[in-house]
Amino acid sequence: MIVTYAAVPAEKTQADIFKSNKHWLHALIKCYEVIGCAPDIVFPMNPKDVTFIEQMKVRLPDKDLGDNELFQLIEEEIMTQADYKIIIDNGFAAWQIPFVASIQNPPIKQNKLTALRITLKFIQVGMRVGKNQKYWNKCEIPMKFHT
Amino acid sequence: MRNSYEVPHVTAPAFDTFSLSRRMGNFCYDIFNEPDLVKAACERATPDIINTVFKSAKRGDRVAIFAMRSSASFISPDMFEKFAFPYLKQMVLAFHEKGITPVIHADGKWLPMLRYFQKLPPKSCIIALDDSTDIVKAKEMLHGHQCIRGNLPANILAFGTERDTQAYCDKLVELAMDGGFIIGSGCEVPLNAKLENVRVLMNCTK
Repeated sequence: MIVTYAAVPAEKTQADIFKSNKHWLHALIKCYEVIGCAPDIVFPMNPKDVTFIEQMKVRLPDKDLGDNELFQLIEEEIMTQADYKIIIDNGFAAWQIPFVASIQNPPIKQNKLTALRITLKFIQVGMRVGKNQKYWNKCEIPMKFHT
Repeated sequence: MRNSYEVPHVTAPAFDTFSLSRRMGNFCYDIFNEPDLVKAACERATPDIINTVFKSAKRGDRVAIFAMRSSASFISPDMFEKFAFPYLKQMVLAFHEKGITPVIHADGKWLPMLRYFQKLPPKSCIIALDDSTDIVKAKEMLHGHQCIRGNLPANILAFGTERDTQAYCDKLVELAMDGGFIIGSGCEVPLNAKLENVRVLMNCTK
């Protein structure tokens, strides 16, 4: 499985491949060219989107870390014991939206638009995976997961 | 009916999300001090998690389930049986029933947990292992039950020679000969992997 390693054979930094999905996809294509072999299966999500769906606080290259450092997940207590009760009473989805907003770097403000902004972010991640999926479908290479 | 927007099919069991978000230490106290509360939250969350994937998944798709915190690197088999497996099983069964293949990203030590996967319907999921799990024993346990994927170690990719890499890949090819096996790296190829070793991995089935 190649995600962040794509930068190395493509002679890019981690900061470069975190710039956009396009930067990462180009690096991944270049990576397989340098290796000289097409993959049997690909991981279709760029590393920045991986940090979004991990649902943890994160330190990013170029922002909190050096340009060529691997992103870091920060394990800290961001869910309290009281949150179990909120999930039981209101469901996981209702809890997840403000939770995801609070762990963003920087955090997303909690207001009437929070749910919309988080949902939109999930959809945008899905659309980027969809774009990558279309590219690899053309090459007849399957994906580890779909969108 | 499917929604018209795309959502990535990437998810995690409630148990794993809680373990990460509470921190490992706190979560262990929760399991011992408030077991019913944790189980009730997992029970309530799991259908929501499944339904999020169902919003856009269709038959033939794959969904990645990141379940590293359910491994024996973090919890005992007894804890797995009571708190993690029931909900992971619920996810696998729900996806399998709809023709969606779950790919369980199973970093960490999974050998003590693999017997539970023998109880799932045959060929209902793919279990992606890293080198913390003995892949030979895993194959023995799951052959004919579930497909496994793995597990060229990161340390061989980074510090081994081409010959070391080839030797490990030969072992994986041997394991793959009778099916139910996908050859790959254990988790991700590390940033310090030697290019020549990655080439050996990529070409080992040719």
